Amino acid sequence: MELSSSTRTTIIIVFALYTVLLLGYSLYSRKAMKSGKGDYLSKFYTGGRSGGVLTTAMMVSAGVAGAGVFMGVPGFTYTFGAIWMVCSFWSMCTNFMVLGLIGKRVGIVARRTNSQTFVELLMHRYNKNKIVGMLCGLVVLFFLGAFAVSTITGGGRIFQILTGQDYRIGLAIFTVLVIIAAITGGIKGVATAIVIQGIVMTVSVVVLFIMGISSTGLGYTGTIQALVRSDPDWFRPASGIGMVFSYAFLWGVTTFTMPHVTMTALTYKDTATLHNAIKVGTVVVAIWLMGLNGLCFTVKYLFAEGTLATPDLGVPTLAVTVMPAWAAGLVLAGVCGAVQSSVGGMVVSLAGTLISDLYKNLINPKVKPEELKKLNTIGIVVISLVIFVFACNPPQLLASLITYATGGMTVAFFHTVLLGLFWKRANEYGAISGIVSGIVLYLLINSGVLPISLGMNACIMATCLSTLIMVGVSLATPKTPYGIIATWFGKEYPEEG
Amino acid sequence: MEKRTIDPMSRDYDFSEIEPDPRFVQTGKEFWITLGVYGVYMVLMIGNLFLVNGDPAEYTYIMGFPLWIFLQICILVGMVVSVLLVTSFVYQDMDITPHGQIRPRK
Repeated sequence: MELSSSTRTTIIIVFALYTVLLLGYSLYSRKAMKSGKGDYLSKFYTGGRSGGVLTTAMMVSAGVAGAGVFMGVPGFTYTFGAIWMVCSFWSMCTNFMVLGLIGKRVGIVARRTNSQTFVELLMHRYNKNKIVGMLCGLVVLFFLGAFAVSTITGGGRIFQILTGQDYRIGLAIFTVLVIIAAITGGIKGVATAIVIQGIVMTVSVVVLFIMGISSTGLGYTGTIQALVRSDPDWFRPASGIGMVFSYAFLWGVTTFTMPHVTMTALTYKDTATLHNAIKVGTVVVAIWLMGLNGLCFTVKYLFAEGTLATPDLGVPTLAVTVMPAWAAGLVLAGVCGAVQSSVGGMVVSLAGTLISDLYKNLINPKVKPEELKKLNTIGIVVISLVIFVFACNPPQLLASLITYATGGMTVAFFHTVLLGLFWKRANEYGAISGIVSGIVLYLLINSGVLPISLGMNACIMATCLSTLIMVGVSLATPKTPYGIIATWFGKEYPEEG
Repeated sequence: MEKRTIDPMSRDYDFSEIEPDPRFVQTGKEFWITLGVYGVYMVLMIGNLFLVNGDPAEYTYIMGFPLWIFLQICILVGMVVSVLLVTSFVYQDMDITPHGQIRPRK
């Protein structure tokens, strides 16, 4: 797609302004790390447990619906039609599912056990078992890492199409911004950036929607009706109920299995904040999804099959085609905001897993705080660079990799989190067998070795079967020690010395 | 029943010896309500896609939208409203400190 050089310049200027604004704000808000109570790591990972309404809501929303809503999801809707539109709306309930299902319980138990990360919390529930800790840590590193790569890849491609610059320049800018926000402010640094990014995203979606729907000259419903006549198959469900149900499960219910999202349950301030965050988050995600999916009719009408570089680029291509340059720049900023906020949360989560869960809790418990601080900074930089290197070799359809990554975390954490929180009998033996069997089954079913998927995504059957295995093994082995169950379920519990 | 002191590391005890925290009982209720609301949303969305959506050549239109798309928009708005209602009127405020209570609705 050809853009005039003056258009490109304007887009780049708007984007540069946004980047500078964000960078300035990150540096300004670093003071948050210096004040506040608690040691360095607890401030870094949980921000002193004082997260407000906007940060909580935006961390969940951007964590799940960040990059996908701008690229992967509209791309799939463009390719597979109406069925995908329905699938994408499952993630509208993200805030409700994560914070509503487990938010309060996790909030209380995290304070009782003084847990800084999601994995640390799970490890405590399963009798501080090192194998559970290691398995959870590796699952997070591998699958959340894949998720981060796919997310930043999408951002790089949009940067390329809107600015005409090399894809890797975009990646490099994102990586540097993420590193700066994470190192200077920890989770609070990322969270304050996420609030700005979320606001930019919301504004850009609304502007794009209003300008987009009038671009066909037919009116909004006129465009839909013309599309029904010219492309009726696009409106028929392309596959069975099984697949739609799979995504209802994967993108709706099990969003709480993603550590960078569940992290918010460890950081919010009080239940009033939690309730308001659910309200704000749900409304914001609804605006993103309805705005961008609503535009799929326009994109489908304007761009015939084969005219887009890849289907993922439908929405950004629409932005540069129908909008004035300043507005397209705003959309670029919105998309990049989405990518950076998703990746920022993931990087902090990954560093927490690598440094706090794997190194401090498993390898060297006697590590000094100063050394840990240094390692943590190195961890952030190394993880960001590894993601950058992988992303330089981008995959084609973004959302399929995201689905794979979220599926991996679902099969490992769905039962360990839910049974751990709500079933006293769950123990470490069950957790280990649940995680291992979940991952193995997922890979076997996904590769077609075990043909038992019943037309659904491989992770559905893997989750069901491994949950049964976890229940069976837990029942066949001794109860979790009294002190832990009292901490997780009881009114009174033995405090640890 | 007399309450005995149990060693925190003991695996030999009965779950009834743990007095449940009322806050956890309440969050258990909220868990099922949340899941139930999502279940209704899921059934409506899937039913709408496969049952209301028929042959595109025979679509009926409401306000210019094909019927099933119009209904989908209604379901989405309905879901947002139900989330607002549930968080306002069903979820309860409580302390999230290690020891604490449910705060009664004013």
